[in-house]
Amino acid sequence: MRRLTRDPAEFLPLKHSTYQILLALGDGESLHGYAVMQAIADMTQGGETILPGTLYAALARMVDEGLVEESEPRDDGTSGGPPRRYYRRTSFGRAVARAESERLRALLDVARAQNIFGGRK
Amino acid sequence: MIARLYRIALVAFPRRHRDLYAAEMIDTFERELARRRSTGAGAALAFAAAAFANLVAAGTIERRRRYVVRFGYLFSALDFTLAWRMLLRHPGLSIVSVFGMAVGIAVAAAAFALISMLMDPRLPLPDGDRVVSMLNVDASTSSNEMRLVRDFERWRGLTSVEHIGVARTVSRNLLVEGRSSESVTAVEMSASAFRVARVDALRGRYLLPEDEAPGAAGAMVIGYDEWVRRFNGDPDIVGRSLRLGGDTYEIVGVMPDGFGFPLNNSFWIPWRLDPLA
Repeated sequence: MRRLTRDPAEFLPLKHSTYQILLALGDGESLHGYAVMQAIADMTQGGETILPGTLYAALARMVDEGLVEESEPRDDGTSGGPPRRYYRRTSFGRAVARAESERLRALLDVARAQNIFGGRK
Repeated sequence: MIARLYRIALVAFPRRHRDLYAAEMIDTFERELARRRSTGAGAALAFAAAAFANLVAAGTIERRRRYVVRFGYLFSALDFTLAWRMLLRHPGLSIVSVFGMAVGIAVAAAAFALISMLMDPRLPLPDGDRVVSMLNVDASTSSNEMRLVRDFERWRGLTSVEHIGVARTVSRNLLVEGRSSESVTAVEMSASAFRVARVDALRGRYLLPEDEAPGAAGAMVIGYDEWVRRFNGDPDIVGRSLRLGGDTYEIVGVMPDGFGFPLNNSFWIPWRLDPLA
């Protein structure tokens, strides 16, 4: 019930790692920690990475805050390694990601208006 | 080696976090390190250094967060924000600081552990200070007398002890289906010794007196590390069979992480030596 009554704006500005993880999880199937790490690298073409210490601390916090939730483990075809926890973005997590995206877009609009990007659009 | 150091460095995180995520963090670190190694030694080294520094920093923050959740704020969040920004702005100083803190913490932890061990020795078990070992000494040779089976049978009748157990290590070849045979050190332990330890099994059960009965089916309890390493943490591990030496055993339980009673053991089978034979 707590999640339904909380305002996404309370989380802004969002921690960078939190925003990365929320975007990496997307609306698709749940991911384990290492898959989240790879998804962040993939979606930024290797431009951004997240290290295990930050990643798992962030996931623990985000579970507490209701931004992500653990889902049932599934067989993803990988072999070896310890049992893994899988995470999916909650609807509240999506709302927070949207609020942060709108905040950043407002700043981006200012940058565009000032022609920060030069000739690029 | 690096993974072992990483495992040690995980102490930067609070125990609850380690219990939940340590295995996955190590696995993630190892996988990413292997991936970076394939692109070059420099990339792997840079990743390892960054991961270690990140571990200490994130662990400190996580400890702080857990503390705040439990006890509230002692310092303002601004203090930590400013400290974090300083660390990012001066990476050279950050590296020196992290290593300085790591060495300081390691020295202090070792000193406290040594003092604690000398001043208040106890086993890491529930009521560990009430657990004692009994050993006979041959007065004529001043050497330890290891043949204690008959004595153990008599000591069982003592009323001044709550539980009494016995154990001995044996080396056997372990054969798990789908894997090559490997020599391991198992421990033959009386079921009563598990009652001394007072630690419940993580999965299944520990050994029971019925397992010691002549003709009983072979029962084995395995440690957490072996469960993860050899069986990939199989949730249906209880009931699986394996061969130890010339005998077949059924796994009846998995002990929790860190359990190694009586001394860093990972395979437990029933004590079946007849003391009256």
